[in-house]
Amino acid sequence: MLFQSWSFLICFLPFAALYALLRRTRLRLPLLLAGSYAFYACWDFRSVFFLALITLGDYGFGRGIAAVPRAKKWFLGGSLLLNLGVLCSFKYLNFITENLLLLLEKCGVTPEVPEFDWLLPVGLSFFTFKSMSYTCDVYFGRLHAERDLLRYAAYVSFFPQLIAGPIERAGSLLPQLRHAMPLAGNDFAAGASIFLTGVFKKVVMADMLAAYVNPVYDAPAEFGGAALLCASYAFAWQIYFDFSGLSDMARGAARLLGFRTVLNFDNPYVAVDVRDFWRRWHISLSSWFRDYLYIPLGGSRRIRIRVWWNVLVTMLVSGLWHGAAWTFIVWGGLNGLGSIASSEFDRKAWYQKIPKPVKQLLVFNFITLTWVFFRAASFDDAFEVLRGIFTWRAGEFFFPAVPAALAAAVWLYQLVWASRRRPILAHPVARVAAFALALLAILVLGAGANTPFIYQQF
Amino acid sequence: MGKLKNIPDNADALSLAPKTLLLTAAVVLGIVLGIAPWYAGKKQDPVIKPDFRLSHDLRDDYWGYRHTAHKVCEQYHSVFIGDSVIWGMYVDNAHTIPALLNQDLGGEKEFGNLAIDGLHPVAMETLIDCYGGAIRGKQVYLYWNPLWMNTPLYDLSGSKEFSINHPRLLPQFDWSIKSYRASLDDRAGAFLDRVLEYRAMLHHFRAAFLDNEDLKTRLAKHPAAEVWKRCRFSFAPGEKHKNANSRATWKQAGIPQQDWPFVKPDNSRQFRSFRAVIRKLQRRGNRVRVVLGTLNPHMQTPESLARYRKLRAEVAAELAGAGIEVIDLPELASEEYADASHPLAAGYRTLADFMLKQLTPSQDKKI
Repeated sequence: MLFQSWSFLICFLPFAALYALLRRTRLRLPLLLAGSYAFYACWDFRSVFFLALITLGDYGFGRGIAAVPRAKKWFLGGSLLLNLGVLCSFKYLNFITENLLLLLEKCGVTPEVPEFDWLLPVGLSFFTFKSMSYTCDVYFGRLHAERDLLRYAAYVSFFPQLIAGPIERAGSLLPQLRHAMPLAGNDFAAGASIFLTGVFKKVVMADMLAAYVNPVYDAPAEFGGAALLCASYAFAWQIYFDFSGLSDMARGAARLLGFRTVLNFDNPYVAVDVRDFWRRWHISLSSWFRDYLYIPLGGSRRIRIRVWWNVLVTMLVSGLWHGAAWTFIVWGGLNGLGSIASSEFDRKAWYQKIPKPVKQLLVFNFITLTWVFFRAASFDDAFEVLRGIFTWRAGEFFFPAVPAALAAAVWLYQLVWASRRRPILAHPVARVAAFALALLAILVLGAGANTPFIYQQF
Repeated sequence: MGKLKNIPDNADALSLAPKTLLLTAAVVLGIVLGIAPWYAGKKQDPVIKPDFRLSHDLRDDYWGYRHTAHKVCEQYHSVFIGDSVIWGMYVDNAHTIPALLNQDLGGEKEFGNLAIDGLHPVAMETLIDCYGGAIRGKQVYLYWNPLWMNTPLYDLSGSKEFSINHPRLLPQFDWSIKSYRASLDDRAGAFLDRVLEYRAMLHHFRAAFLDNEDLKTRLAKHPAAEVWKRCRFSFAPGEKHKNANSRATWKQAGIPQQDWPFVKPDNSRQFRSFRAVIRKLQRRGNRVRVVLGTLNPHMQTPESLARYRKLRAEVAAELAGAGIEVIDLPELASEEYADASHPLAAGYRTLADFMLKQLTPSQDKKI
């Protein structure tokens, strides 16, 4: 049940109305929980088991940490084992066995190993990380263990964030689940407008760009350098619109129920260096890795080479989180190298003198280059794309003027927002005009088949 | 790495205040409600010649159908409603039954062709209900094609999944049609197409101007100049079929004999809708005459043929019992059929000749 579908709207609106009616009663949490599980069951009812397993397991481990502090390491270990075990079994088992077999083949051994054709529960990477962050926070004493299983289950399964995040921290959402949040006209207006902005990003922008990108990336050898370059830029925008649109819809739906959830994107393509990009892109995940991997590794309070290592390891793991393929690992590695280069350049006087727009353009181009590995189906395809671009191979090409103009308009909006001229965009006339245009674009261009989100597969 | 706090709430998505949202909604609603009537007023009318029929490309353009039905009813005394047999499959515009009748009557605009390829009775019920409001006070020739009752599958009374023509015209929330297994999204979308004028108009744009392609996909798949160049800014004319009027017979095409079970009228979903169409047309002041079509008898086994003839007799008796005038079309010679239900050009001629004898146009003009 995709957020941008009629079926979601048909189910969500009565649910939101019922929730608003019952939110001051004891039925609030059971209703939210039932709604979340029903929503998840719509994707695949078998996956509900794993959601319940992770919830019950981490609730128990959290209670264990609070009850028996001496054994808290064991409880944390149990939580990590449960979450990473489930995640690895479904997401990484085939990748690990394939690579092990390749290694063994090089050593002359060819054992017969069956391929595991298991269904990957949708949103698994998101809710395991969400639940794991809770046990880590309880372990480090940042959070009291939740006593109410119903409340904890409602936190893990909170349906607006269940399928593809944002990965909300327990410290932010559990207090909001403890008491009925006030629900005013402002919440409704903000929620509806954020949700519709997300719909615009997904059904108008991302899907339109996908129609240009997909044929090129499906057969890169058949296209020339210009088409490959154009499709690579288009993908940079497609993935931004796709994922930030999804995050907006999740935030908007949550806000319509009275919840204020984390902002997952902050105009990433106006970033002035790669570290800045990661402060703006998928913020809930990058902050997760910062708090639970980068800082425990030593963070930036180590000698320079160790800091580089910490950054690189964090980004490689982040790449692996996105998908069980070497292309994702290389994508993460390139971003790690970019982050290290950014921090090193920042120390140089000459780099400080480069004008901000030039830096923004350089970062956008670097990020676009790394997306090639993210989007390509294989290494061969990624190198085919890069070869085609850098040798400027001849081939059929047309410039998708309308999608490009729309993406440029959005970029301009974001650049102005990030500049001193922001008050222009805050003017009511500008806001009404921008939102009305977005709504009309949804009504005219939004009709058609609903396509799944890119990040849904992770 | 990222941070969770101190990020402005609306840095990346528009978050509006209630008044601003209401104002925006009012602006958008005004445009959406106003655009369809404005466009209908500005729209170029289809050229209605005596041999007019809807373009095959526009068979799913129901908003266009409403507009065209209005124009046709303004200019013709009688109209034919039906499926591809009346529309004139395998022949050009001049050789359809209504066109042949018009020619025989001296080239007058006597019989209008409001048939659509694949229009089975269940779809017809919605079409007439939602888009056929202009068909009022007319002599209506309503074509009944036994093909739609030859199996539970075509009759939509079976339970096996089946993709029938005109799914957007099916009753979207009638769960008794088990063979229609569209998603809730598709059902809601089809329902909204009927309720929201602008959505039906978007389908019209796609069908009439964009070769049935989605505008979003078209903008991304073609250069901007190409999009404009390939747009047709008028109704597509009734196309001339390649190899029209020269199609092979069913035997030459190698179609084997069939043994159809046929669904009894009392159990038939399609016939239930057919009855509803008659009632609806009559309520709008139309005089309805049912044209009983044939199903290639040469292509059926003797058992199938017996069931078919029994069904036809039952349908004719029921309609006659209800006081509906019936024109019982004759079975054609084997070489006049192209397939199970479509005649070849010679067959259309035979049927038109037969019908001409049954019609009294001067009387038909006045109801």
